[in-house]
Amino acid sequence: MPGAKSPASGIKGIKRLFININMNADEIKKLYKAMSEALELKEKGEQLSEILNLFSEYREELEAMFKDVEALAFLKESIKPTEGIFEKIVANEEISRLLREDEAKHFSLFQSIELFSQLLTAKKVYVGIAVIVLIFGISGFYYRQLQEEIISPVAEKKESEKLAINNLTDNNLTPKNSVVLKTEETVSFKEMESDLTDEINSLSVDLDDLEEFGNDDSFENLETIL
Amino acid sequence: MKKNKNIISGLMIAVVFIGIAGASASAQVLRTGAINGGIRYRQVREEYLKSVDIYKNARRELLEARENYQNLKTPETKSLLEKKNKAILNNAASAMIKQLEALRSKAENIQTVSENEKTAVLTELDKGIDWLKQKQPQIENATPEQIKEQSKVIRNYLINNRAIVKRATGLAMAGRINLVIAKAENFSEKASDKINELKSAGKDVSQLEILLNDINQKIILAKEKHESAKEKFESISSESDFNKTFNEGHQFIKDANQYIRQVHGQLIQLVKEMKKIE
Repeated sequence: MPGAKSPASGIKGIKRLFININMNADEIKKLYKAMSEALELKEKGEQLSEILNLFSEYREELEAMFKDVEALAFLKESIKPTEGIFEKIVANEEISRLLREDEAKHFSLFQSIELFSQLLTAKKVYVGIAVIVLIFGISGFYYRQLQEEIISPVAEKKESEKLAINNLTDNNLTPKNSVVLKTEETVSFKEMESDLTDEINSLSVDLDDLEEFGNDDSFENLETIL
Repeated sequence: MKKNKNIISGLMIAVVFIGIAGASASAQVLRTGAINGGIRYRQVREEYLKSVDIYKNARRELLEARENYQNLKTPETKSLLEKKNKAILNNAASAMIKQLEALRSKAENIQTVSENEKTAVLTELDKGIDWLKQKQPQIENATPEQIKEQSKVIRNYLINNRAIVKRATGLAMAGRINLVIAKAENFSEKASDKINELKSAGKDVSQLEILLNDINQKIILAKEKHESAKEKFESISSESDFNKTFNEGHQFIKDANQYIRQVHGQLIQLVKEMKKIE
C-alpha cells in the first residue's frame, strides 16, 4: 500500500501521543474529551482539516491521534482489535499519565501499585484472583518463615526426640541409644547451647511443679475422720 | 477518577496488610499452641486447689457436726452429721480426682525421652481417676448406712491414691531429667567430634579434652542418679513406705539435676574454648 505507515511507526505514534503530553489531570480530561469528539466527527464523515480547526487547541495531539488511527486501520486485518478498543485505550488517562511518568523515569513504588490497581480494575475477576494470590503468597512466605523458625532448631529437636522415643525402650537406655538426637547435624553449638539452657530452665519449673505433688499433704489424716 | 484510584490503591495496601496480619496471627496461633499444654495445666491445677479448699471446708463442717451430735444426740444433729459424712466423701473424691487430673496434665505436658515411660505414668493416673469417678455416683446415692460402707472404701483407697501420686510424680521427674541428660550427652558428643576435628588439624586440644572428660564423667554420674531415682520410684506401692521411698528417689533427682547444671556450664565453657582454638 503506497504511502501507508508501517505498523511499527503506528505503534510508535501511540507512544509518542502519550509521552508528549505534559498536562495536569483537568487538561488531560479536556484533551481526551476533544479526542473522543474528534473521533466521533471523523466517523460521521467530517473532514480532518475541519476537525483540526474545530479543536485547534489540541491540533498537534489530534494529528498524532489520527495518524495512529490510520496506523491501526492498517493493522486491523492482523490484529483485529475489538470495536472501540482504541477509544478505551486513549480514554484511560491514568494509564497514559503513569506511562508518561514511567518514560520520565520517575516511576515510584506507590505509582506501581496504583498502575497495578488500575490495570486490575479493568477486570474485577482479576482483582479477586490477584488478592487471593497475594494473600496466599504473603501467608506462604510467613508460614515458611515460621516453619524455619520452628524447625530450626526446635522442630528438628522434636523430630530427633521422636526418633529417640521410637528407638528407646525401657531396657535399652544405653548411652548410644539415648543420644538419638544425632539427626541435628545442622544445629550449631550456639543453638545447642541455647536449647540446653532453655531445657535447664524449664526442667527447674517442671521439677518444682512435680515437687508440689510429691509433697502434697492435702489428704493427710483424712482416714482418721472417715 | 483520582479519588477512585486512591481508594483502590488504599484497598490494595489494606489487603496486603490484612494478609500480613493474618499470617502473623496464624503464626501466633501456632506459637500459642506450643504453650497450650502449660496453660491447661495451670487451669487444672487451679481447679484442684479450689477443690481442696472445698474439701477442707467440708472436713471442718463434718468435725463440727460430729461434735454437735455427740453433745446433743438429737435427730436433727444426727441428720446433719449424715449429710456432712456424705459431703466429705463427695468432696474428698472430687478433690482427689482433680489432684490426679492436675498431675496427669503436668505429666502429659512434660517432655521425656521415652514415650513408653510417659504412657505408663498417664495410664496409672487414669486408672485412679476412673476408679474415683466410678465411686462418685455410689457416694451420691448412698443411704446413711451405705455411707459408712463407702467411707471404708474411700479410706482404704486413700493409701493407694497417695502411692499413685508419689509414684507418678517420681517417674515424671525421672523421665523429664532423662531428656535433659540425653541432650547434654548429645551436646558432649558433638563437642567431642569437633575436638577430634581440631586435633586432626594439628591444634592443641589437651585442655579441651580434660574439660570434656570431666563433662562426660558428670554426665555418667547424672545418668546413674537418674537410674537410681527411677528404680526407687518404680518400687513405690501402697504396701511400701512410699513417703520414704519417694524422698530417696527425689534426692537422686536433685543430685542428677546438680550434675546436669554443672555439665551445662562446662559445655558452654568448652564451646568458648573451642572457638578460641579454631
